[in-house]
Amino acid sequence: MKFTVNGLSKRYKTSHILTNVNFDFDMSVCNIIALIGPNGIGKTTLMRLMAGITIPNAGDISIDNSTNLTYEAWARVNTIFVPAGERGLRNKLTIYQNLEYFSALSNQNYQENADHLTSLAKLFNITNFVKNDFEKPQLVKRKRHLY
Amino acid sequence: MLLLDEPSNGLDIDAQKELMTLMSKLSELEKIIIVSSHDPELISTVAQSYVFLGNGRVLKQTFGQVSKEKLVNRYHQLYGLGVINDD
Repeated sequence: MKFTVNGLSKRYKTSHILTNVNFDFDMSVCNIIALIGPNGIGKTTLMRLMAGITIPNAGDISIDNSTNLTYEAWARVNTIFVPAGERGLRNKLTIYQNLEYFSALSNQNYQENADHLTSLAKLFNITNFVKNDFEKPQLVKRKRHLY
Repeated sequence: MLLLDEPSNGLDIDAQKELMTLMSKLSELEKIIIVSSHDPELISTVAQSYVFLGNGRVLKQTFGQVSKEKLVNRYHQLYGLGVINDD
């Protein structure tokens, strides 16, 4: 499957963050793609666009698959965006308690989220680990939880 | 598809290595990972394509793994810090 970013532009008020960004890659050949550049150059904005949570002012992202979904609709189902930083998780709660708390805040089904977390914990071999308080794990392990 | 924004920020060297190992394992599971970084030296250990951004545009895209030295030199060339080791 080919992933294509075509003429993507994004501005906030009069500040142009991205202007006519173009690149592509074959998802069957490249599994890890790095966006490189110094801080403040638009990497996070591009990430948010690829996660489908920010809408471009011009251009689009496409993926040649068999569905008729728009990219944004595809991305909301098929991407996990892990922003920089820890984004306000509660240190005194366990991972599951954090999940319950934020599921309630966003009116999502806690049990579905908990089942998904359990399957991810098995994948990363951290099944026992996620029962700890969030503040106890080291930072890299916290980031695992975010993934 | 995983979108990781500067995932190595704030990690010590051991934790950075563990993160790179984790990304490699996910890659072997055929997960697509797009990772942003301002640390070419670290990311050169795992990435298979590089998109260099500058002035809101793509300055360059490369495919295939690149040695740490080449990637760091390319970074310095593109972002105005000159060539450290010309290879």
